[in-house]
Amino acid sequence: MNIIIQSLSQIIMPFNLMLITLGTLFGMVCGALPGLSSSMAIILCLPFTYSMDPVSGVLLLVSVYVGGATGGSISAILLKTPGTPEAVATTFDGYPMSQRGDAGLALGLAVSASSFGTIFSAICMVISAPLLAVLALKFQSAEYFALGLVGLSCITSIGSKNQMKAILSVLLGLMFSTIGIDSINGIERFAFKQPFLLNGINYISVMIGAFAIAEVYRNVEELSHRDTSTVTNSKVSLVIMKFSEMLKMWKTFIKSAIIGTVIGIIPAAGGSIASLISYGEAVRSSDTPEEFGKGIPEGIIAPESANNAAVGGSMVPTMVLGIPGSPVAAVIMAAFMILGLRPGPLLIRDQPILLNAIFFGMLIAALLLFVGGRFVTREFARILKLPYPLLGTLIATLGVVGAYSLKNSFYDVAIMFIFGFIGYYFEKFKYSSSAFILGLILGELVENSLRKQIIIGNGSWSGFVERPLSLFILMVAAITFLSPIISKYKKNKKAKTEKSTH
Amino acid sequence: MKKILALVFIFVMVFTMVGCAPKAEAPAPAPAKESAQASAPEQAAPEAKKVDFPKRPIEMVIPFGTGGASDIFARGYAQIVEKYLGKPLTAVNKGGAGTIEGLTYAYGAPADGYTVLEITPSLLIVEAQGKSSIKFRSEFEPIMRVQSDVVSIGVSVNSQFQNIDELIEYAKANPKKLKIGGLSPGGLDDYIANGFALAAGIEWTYVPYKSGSELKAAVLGGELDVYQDKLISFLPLVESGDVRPLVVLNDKKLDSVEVLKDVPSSVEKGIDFTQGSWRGFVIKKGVPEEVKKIIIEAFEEAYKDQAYKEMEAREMTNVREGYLNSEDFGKAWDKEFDSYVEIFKLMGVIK
Repeated sequence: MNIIIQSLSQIIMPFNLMLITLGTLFGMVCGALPGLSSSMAIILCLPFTYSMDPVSGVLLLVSVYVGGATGGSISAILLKTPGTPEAVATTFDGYPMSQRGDAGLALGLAVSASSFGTIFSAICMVISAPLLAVLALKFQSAEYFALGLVGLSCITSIGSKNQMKAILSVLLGLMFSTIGIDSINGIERFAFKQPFLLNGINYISVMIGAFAIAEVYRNVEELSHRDTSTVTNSKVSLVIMKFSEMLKMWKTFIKSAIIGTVIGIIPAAGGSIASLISYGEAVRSSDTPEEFGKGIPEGIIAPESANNAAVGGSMVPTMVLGIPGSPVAAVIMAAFMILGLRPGPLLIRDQPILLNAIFFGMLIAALLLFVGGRFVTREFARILKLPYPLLGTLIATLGVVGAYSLKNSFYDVAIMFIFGFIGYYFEKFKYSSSAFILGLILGELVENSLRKQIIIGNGSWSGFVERPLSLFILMVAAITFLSPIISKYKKNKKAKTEKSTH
Repeated sequence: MKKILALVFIFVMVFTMVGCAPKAEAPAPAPAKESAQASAPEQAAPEAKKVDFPKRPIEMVIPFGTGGASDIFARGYAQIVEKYLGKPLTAVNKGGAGTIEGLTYAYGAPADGYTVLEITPSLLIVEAQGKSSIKFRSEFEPIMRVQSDVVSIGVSVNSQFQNIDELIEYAKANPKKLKIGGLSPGGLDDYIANGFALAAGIEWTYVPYKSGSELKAAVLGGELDVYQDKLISFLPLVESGDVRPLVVLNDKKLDSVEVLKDVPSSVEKGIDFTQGSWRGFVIKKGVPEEVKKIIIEAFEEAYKDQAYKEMEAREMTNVREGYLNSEDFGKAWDKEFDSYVEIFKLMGVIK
């Protein structure tokens, strides 16, 4: 109790509160800009922390992290440009909703879900960090493989409209993920001696291309058949959903937050996998799965609540074991070291104030998001009132800058444009860009952990089913994969019998 | 009114972009300007006068991603060098393709001293394996080697092995049964694991991981039998009682590190293998001598700076002397290169 009061009194200092506010805002802006990831945002803030005391420094970095995980949804919803990989799933329903004219609603939902996810995982972190950290160690290669399969099996839920084509798209994505230096033997695959291909295809530039640029192409095509002076999005509603209405979806909120926290804890999986799995689960368990993808609230809540919950989750093994739970957490851990702190079991024992400071920092950042963020982000929605030629140019510019700043390389820009075309034709012929990206993101995790487990099992495959946790997750994957197919089959059959009786 | 708001928003977005990613803008227009600036004064003032260098910020190419030990080191060191050079050093991460991207990028820049490349053993390994058409040793010149990292080998506390002798005895009786982890296949960790095994006369299986955190989780979770890592990552796990240290790859015991002072060194145990990682800086061959001198001086001064000493102590890279001046650093390359070729041949990585 003493510690809590002590750490609270440190945080309440005006300077620290200011840092949290600035950090959250800065994180949100960086998150909204494609190509400027949360880790880059934290690195940019790092020099400012050198002269601060550790608690202030950590507060700044953690609030940037929270802001970044939230900001990605802003551009995902408004521009179909996921600002961060974590926000890919948010485009599925967020963009249709904003196209419908409910941009304010979509943004409000995203921010509320984000702050809920943050608060949930922060509470989990502080109550049971040492217990939860054990979970991180239960996850070994076999479990990673199984988890990757759960992610991939979401495909039947996400691409429920045309499952065959969605599966084809995911396979294509998996194929593209093998380009580059393979991570087990170091062999070049499909690189054709081109240095820029050695590192593989960067899924962020693919994501910007296939979502944002393809969308610009599509709009340009539509506009050329129409008087360009008309503003496409003349109706932009900035109404925010009422609190009481949101409460009705508490199940989605909590389930997604749990998924996010758990996946965040696991070192090799982060917010992007968490949000995809949580979205898949929301579709699977929904009574109206066919409404997903058309812009329903649950489709925004699920990924946003999960990717922010992954923030708190990823801090658990970072603080307790010194093993970062996500790439962003790895940067925060590096920052800890610069501040003279060494994360690990000793840190929690020697500096209990710090863990509480992170907890309260996340809590305040989340509350800030909830109260202020809903109104601030709503103003972002005004961007949709721009005439499309202007907006389209802005999106393309943002995309180019975003792809370039990934590695300061024009190859990524070229890849973005190539996948812009591919994404455009995918959409036209009802293949699924999201499924393709799902394959591209998860391909490496799945392949890598599969091959590692086989090396570790001395060439035997039995490890996957002999390890109880791995077996359990594999079964979850099977259920996730099959249940939409079965329910669709049942529905078709029902429809047929109804027809025949008529 | 609403249009104005939207315009303001665009401005904010564009400016934050410019502000947040200054390096994204810098490289593009630079080459043209560089060649013009570099050639003009050289021709005008052949020798006699002291060169005016640097006139603008210098690019520090880091051939690794953001946030790793080498990235943090280079960024920190760049800030200290800035004090002595008078112009800032801007860090540019080119982490792709196992350092090849950074190497290619630095090679593509003009040899005018405005591009400095951070290096680690990985660049020599890339050359040893012939992975890039750029022959590193003949295209770059050393500035200095700043620090070196000691690698230690240990096991999880739950492991049956109490000391290095037991481990080696078991490995001899069960070749290839023990699993040791590391980062990047065919990279430095792979070399150290196999080089140590070769020197000790044992065989074990090397499993590559994507990141240090996955590696540690695999050790603590029991997937890997043996853990190898550099001190800064190794020590916290020893201090917390999760890892039992067995041997440090060094000539003698590490007396200066409290928790490792009783751990035998590899040489004491008759295993002649002490390879660790190190970090240094190079510039492209062909940089004018005067410019090179200015750069080397600034980097040397930074090494003596109190700020560096503090950084070194924090990162635990002061345990083993890593400093080599420009000349010795260059000589050390050839020696290391040969041993890489030897081990990688044995491993079958190169023919």
